[in-house]
Formats: sequence, structure tokens, C-alpha cells
Amino acid sequence: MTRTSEADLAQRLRAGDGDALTELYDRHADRIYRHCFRLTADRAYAEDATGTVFLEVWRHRQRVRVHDGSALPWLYGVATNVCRNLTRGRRRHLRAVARTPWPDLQPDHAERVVERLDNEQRMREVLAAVDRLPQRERDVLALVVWSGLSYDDAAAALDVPVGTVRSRLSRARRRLEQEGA
Amino acid sequence: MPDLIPPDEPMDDATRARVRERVVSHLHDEHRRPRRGWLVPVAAAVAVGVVVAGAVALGGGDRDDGGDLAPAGTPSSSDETDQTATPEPTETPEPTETPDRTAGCDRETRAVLPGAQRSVVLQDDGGATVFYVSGAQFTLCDTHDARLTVHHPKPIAGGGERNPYELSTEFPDAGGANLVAGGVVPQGSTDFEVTYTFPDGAVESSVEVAGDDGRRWWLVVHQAADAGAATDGPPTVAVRGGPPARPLDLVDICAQANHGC
Repeated sequence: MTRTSEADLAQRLRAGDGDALTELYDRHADRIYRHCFRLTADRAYAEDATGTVFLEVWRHRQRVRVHDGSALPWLYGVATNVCRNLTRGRRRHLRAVARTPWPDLQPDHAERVVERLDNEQRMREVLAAVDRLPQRERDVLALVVWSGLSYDDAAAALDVPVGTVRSRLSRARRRLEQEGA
Repeated sequence: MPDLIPPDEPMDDATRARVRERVVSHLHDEHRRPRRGWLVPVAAAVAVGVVVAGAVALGGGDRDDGGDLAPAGTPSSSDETDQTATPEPTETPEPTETPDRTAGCDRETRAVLPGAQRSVVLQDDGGATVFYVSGAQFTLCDTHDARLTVHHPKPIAGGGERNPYELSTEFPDAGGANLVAGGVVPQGSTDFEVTYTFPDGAVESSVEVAGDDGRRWWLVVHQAADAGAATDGPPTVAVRGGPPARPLDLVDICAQANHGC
């Protein structure tokens, strides 16, 4: 069976075809979720953000862009904005909830929950280490270093020139090395 | 480059299915609704109390006007606003159709409380809240945000582990926060009232309504413009004509069962 090209999917999406959205979801939700987790360090927020990303894609379907045959860079751009726009209150609430004791865990879930908490803790530490970077440099770092996008795709995601991606990443690396992160 | 490698956190099957269902439900809901130009305006980003507009009123605003989250360089948000405010010529609006955002509540609630049946719907300018009963338990489903919020079930007779005055907290993408609490008015109480004082200084008292099944319900909705101030800590709660409240903790502003806090 021939896989529908993403240019075709984008065209159907612009025409209001909901199936095109679900197909995009099936293709890319995992990567978007991982990206959102890296930006939030919280599985629940990553889940919420992933859903919001695809609802935003639907809402802005007339703007969908395909870069080099893939809508993924544009999706990454939407996801970056969605996660960046988590309100300050929401983040504060996240921190507050993180301080509250966890309920007793059932033994069969305990291992999975511990792993989850461990990942969240590790991700929080990583985010804390890059917290002093300007937002634009963190965005590039997350897309290129953590999510593995090419400079070209990251530039498409952020709608900036490729040279800007290179310079931001270079500055980010330099800052982090100077700080010994 | 220093070692800043994030842990791998894959999306598990249950999460993938849950989010997919949310996306698909939104598409279905949107097809059932008239376009937003014909919807009742939503009073967003202001602190408002709940006004009971009727014991059984369906409908509610479509909060579909969040911030501009498409990547930069695409048309401006004002352009987008203009586009969405004007119905597309290919889609004929249906002004006579009543939007029913509570329709999704039935499905969402039964996943939390199997067999749940509606008792009453309370409607205000910002959305609707539906109370459900199943056996000896009740819960509520709130539609003040685009995302539905269902509370953890609690015993109708009172008691149980959960704080009876706990609130759900939802942060709309457009900003602000919605805090919702509700429950059964104790039998025989004639002057029951719950009053919350939130960290942002807002004071909200309960409204009361009778359900189809004869029960009386109370509800408090706080729609705060400043999410940070409203959720800086748990509110204080005072109860008249009912069981005394025990102080709320941070976990008590996370009453939702169907999504994260």
C-alpha cells in the first residue's frame, strides 16, 4: 500500500479533512510527545500538550507547512510554542504538586511509577542545567540536540534562517561549557 | 558539550489512545457545533461567579480562541482572528442549532464512574457543569474549558477519603485558571452554603440547584484571570449548614480524574 505523502495530507487538512489530522497524529504523536516531555519534564503535561498541539494544528490548518516532504518540522514548531506558552501559574502549580506526597502505590504499578518519576526527575535536572540559556537557544538545543532535527528542519520549525540555528546552538554550547553544566 | 542527554520517555499505548480520543472527540464536537460566530460569547479572563440559568440548560461557549501557537512567520494572530471570526463561505452556519458541549461529558464521565446518569446541568456564561449519579456515588463534569474536567467520584452520603470540598483546577490555553467544586447538599439543610476564599483574594459562594432525581446540589466555579495568583496555594473554605470543612491542601485542588493537574 502506498503511504500518503504529507503534502497530500496537508492539502486534505487545509480542506477540512479530519482524517488527515488523525493520520498526522498517528504518524507523529510519539515524537511530539517526547519533545513535549523534554520541554516540560512532566508526563501529564506532555500528554496535555500533545493533544493541544494537534488541536492547534487543526485550528491553524490553513497555515500547515510541509518542509522537505514532511509536516514534522512545522509540528515541532507548534509544539515548541504550545509548551512555551504553558502559563507561569501552571508551572508554579507543577512545582507545588511535585512537593506533595504521593499516594501509596500498588505493587504492580510501583516499578513503572518509580521509573516515571525517575525520568521526570532526571529531565527536571537537565532543564535546570539549561535554565539560564535564553529561550531561543533552549528551543534550538531541544530541537537539534535532543530531538535530532537537522539544522534545516529546526530552522523550518522555528521559522528562522539556518544560520540563526547554527549561531544559537553555538552560543548555547559555549555558555554551557563556560558554566560547566 | 556537557552531558545533557534527556531520558527517553516514550508515549505508551494508553496515552497515545487517550490523546487520540481527545483529538477525535474535538473533531466530532466541532462538526456538531455551529461555527463560533454564532456562539454565546464567553466571559473569559475575568473572575465571575456562577449564575444558575436553569435546572436543565444545555450548551455553552466554545473556548476556541487561545493564543496564537502556530510557528512564527505565519500570518499574525490578528489576521487569524479576523479569519476565524468570519464564517467561511463553504460552511453554512446553523444559528438555530443549540451547541451542546455537555454531550462529551456523558462519555468522559462514564469512563470515570461507570453507569453514571445525569442529575442536573448548571449553565452560566462560561460553560456548563453536569452532576452525575451512579449507585451511591456522584461526580461532576465541567465544561468551562475546551477540555472537559471530570471529578473523582465521591459518596453521596458523605465521608470517604477525598476532601468533600476539593476543587479541580484547569488552566485554559487562553490564560487564567478555572477552579470548580461541587457536591450534594446535606439532607435537611435549609441554609447550606460553601464559601471559598482564594489566594488571589476572590471570594466565591456556592449556588444551589435541585436535580431531576430530587437531590440538591451545590456548585462553586472560580474563573480567575491570573492563574498564578489564584493557585498560589489552596483556598480557605467555610461551610454553613453542613459538615465542617477540613483545611484544603494542595492535593485538594486537583480533584480531576480524567487529566493531569
